[in-house]
Amino acid sequence: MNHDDSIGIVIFGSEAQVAWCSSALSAVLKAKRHFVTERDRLAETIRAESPEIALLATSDANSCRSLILLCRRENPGILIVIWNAESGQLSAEKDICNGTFAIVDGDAGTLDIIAILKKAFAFVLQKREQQELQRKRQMRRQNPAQWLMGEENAERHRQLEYARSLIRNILHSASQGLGIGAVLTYIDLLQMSPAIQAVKEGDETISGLVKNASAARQWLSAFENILTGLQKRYECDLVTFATINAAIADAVKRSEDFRAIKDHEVVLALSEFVGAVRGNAEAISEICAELLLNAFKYSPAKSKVRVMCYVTPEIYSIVVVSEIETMRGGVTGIPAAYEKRVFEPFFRLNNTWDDRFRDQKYGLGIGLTLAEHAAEQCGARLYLYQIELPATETGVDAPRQANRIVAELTLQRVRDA
Amino acid sequence: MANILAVDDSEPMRAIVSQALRSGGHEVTLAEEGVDALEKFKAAEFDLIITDINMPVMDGYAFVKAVRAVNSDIPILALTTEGQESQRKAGEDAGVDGWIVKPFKPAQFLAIVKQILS
Repeated sequence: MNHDDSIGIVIFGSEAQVAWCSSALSAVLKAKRHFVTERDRLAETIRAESPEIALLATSDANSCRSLILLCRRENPGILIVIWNAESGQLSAEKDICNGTFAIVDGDAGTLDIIAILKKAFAFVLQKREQQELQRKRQMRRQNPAQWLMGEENAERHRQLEYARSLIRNILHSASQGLGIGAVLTYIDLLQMSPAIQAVKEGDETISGLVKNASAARQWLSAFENILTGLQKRYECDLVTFATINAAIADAVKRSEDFRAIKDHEVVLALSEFVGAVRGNAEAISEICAELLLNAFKYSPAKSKVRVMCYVTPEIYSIVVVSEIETMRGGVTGIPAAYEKRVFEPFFRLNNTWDDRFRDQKYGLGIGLTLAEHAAEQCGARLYLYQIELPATETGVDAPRQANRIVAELTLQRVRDA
Repeated sequence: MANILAVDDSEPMRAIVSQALRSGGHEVTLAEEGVDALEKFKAAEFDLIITDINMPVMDGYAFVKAVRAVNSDIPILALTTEGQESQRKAGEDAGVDGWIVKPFKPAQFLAIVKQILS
């Protein structure tokens, strides 16, 4: 991965040298560049902008020593590259050599300077990686749980970035001149033609084409929704329990069409607590709607889906509990090994596809990824796991399976709010 | 009906846009990218410009800015695969009046053209 654009470099020299650097280096180095021509400004820039590299254009040994001292005083760790455009040999000065990363002497061309700077950039990146590794090792020793969460978050962000790029590329490809987008527009144009309208009703091929064009448009809309979902940002704020209950009720209401598909019964068992959590009402409602959709899809028809909540001094949890439908030719329930994988983009636990749920907002195995992404932005955690209920609890109203799927959104409670 | 300059680097897309606009009774002049379009824009009178954004040589943003430098009145619609808000904003800043994301529905497209012309 290229992080050049995150590296800072200060370039010091005469106006002509600085101007030359500005044009010669801009095409090849994506660093944050600061150009200065005065010593005072050099010190100020190192102090204020914290560049990691200093390129000093000077040909006088004493001036060079004084500049190195100035840079070191402001930032002892800064990498110094000396560019001597005159004929003298600054590299012959041992004390200057010892204090710098490299000296470009005499008749060095643009490519030599760029090559040296590239090496300096690589060195900075390597140093950063080592520091990051060291930080992680230290955290791992001091707080293993926090370290593990940090690693999980980093992995999740990589996956989300991958999903974003993939969806963006698919949408672009589909919408370019040649391809699905053009086919869809041509089908629309066909429909506008009076000759086609006359035969459309009686022609199964044409009506089939029109119907499938509409489905393909829906499919493209799902991609748009996914991209919007992946880019969505929720502001985290204080949310009262009453607002959360309203958000859950809103999710239940919005999920009514999906509930009706298999005639589920939603049992709401929300309690009135006093206080608040850190979160976002819209995000909570979106997450609950996604959890309900999953519950409806993967639990038996006419079964109960319970939505409950509980509070401890630290957290407030919203729990959606559903029965487990036996999947033919796929994985039934959520075995422990898959508890984290279900949140990966495009991951499907089984290949069963229920066409009755085709109107869902996202599909493609990304709904839970987006829900977890929303939860993370609220400082919350989302869990999905399978539990086995004691026989006494399952005997009466759940004859099919003793196991349940539990989806749990855990929000951080704010005390004295 | 209107005289429209449509700019797109994709040949199939130019054909579709042209067909859709002609079905609405408009006169259409086609251009392949910004520089080509700018020449055609200077050579004739148009009521509306419809332009792609991602194009070689001169992209849609640069083309719109170049048009706005000499003509602030002519309505300009962007017809693009770019749906992101940041790009819409960049289009607005350049001087675009409307933004349509491909693939477009011809009927809706013609309705927008009609609205912007009125």
